[in-house]
Amino acid sequence: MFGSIAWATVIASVAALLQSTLLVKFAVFHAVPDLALGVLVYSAYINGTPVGQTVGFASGLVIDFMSAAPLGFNALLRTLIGAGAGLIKGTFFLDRFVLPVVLCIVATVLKAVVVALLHFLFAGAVPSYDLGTLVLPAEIALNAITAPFLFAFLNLFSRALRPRMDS
Amino acid sequence: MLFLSTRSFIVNFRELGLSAFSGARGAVHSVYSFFDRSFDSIRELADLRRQYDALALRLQRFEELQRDSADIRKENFKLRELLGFSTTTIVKHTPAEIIGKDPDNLFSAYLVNKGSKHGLKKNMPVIAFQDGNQGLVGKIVQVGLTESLMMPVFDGNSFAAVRFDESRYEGIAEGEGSQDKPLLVRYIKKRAKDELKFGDIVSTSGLGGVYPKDIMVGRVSKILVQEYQTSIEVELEPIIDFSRLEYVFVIENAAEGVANVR
Repeated sequence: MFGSIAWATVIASVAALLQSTLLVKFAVFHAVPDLALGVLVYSAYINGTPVGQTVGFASGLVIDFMSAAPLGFNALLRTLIGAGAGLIKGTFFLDRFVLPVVLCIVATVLKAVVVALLHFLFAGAVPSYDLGTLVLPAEIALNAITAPFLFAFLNLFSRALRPRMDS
Repeated sequence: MLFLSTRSFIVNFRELGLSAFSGARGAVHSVYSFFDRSFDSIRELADLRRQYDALALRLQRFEELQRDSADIRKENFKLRELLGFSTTTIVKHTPAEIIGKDPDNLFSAYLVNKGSKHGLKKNMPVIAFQDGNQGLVGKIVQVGLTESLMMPVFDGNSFAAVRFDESRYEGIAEGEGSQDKPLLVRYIKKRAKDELKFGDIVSTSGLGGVYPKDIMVGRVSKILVQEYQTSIEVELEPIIDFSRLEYVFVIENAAEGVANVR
């Protein structure tokens, strides 16, 4: 369990690093795909809520360090998303295309809802998605498009990311 | 989170975290830049050959001009001395390259490749030169060892005290969260409405102690007058085109102004 948490956190951190440096150069409507969120959803869906929450918290904290977000903002946000994705662990067959796309779309929408709630509670410190711009639709679309490729890539590391049978 | 967020500890967790990832983002940027520049270099080689021949000719002309210029400079120095002018002082500035942005689409911070190691501190103003203009870019909000996060003027949490260059009215310029949206200047006296014009330049006023005086912020693009409000609002088109921004200058936030840099 600790191995899969550590590996998922490392991969999510590398994904955040790429988002921050490389993917911003190819942003669509100023939005980049949230690959770290995809990694979290994958890890939570195959491992369950405890791992999802922990990976969400750890990867969120790493993103908070890289971002101008208030410390703990992403940690809280991704802990909730990890817990949510973990709750439906194994409910549906994880195919190569449909479920990754659906999971990433739902996770992004959930992210927007939680952000809106936090914005309502802490308006000065936490921004919200501006529905007058295309940032949120672009992020949802980008996450959906990259999801099958990301999940296929993560399947290559399934031994490290999946729970061990003997544990 | 509250425990980590508090700033009353000896160790600042945010700065420590940013410092921990300082090198990694710089390394990724360097690798990308290497390939990007390699491709550009090949393309530029052909241009360079052509330009070299043209420049060799121009160099010959400039050598002749330089001899004249040296004499003029000497004469200028003597005249300045006679008039009692001090030599031009330039505000201390640190050039930096933008190497990334915030990994989260919600936040608009930029990552620059200079940190506390290079003398950067929180709240230092950031300016840039573009199309011959010196414009306000934003301010440093978080400093790591070799990298820092900069909040641009269009960020929703950015506020700058500004003054209209011609009419001298003051206001507060704030961002609207997106680089596609104009900046909004609030709290302008209502009597200013007849004196404001489209295209007027708006610069920092130096009040507030963060941004030095006389850095251009934007041009008036819309004047919003509501009868029921006690002040008017003005939309500004930023001087800096953020989509083309690559290099910036981080300057001291002393109140001495940067008029002499312009």
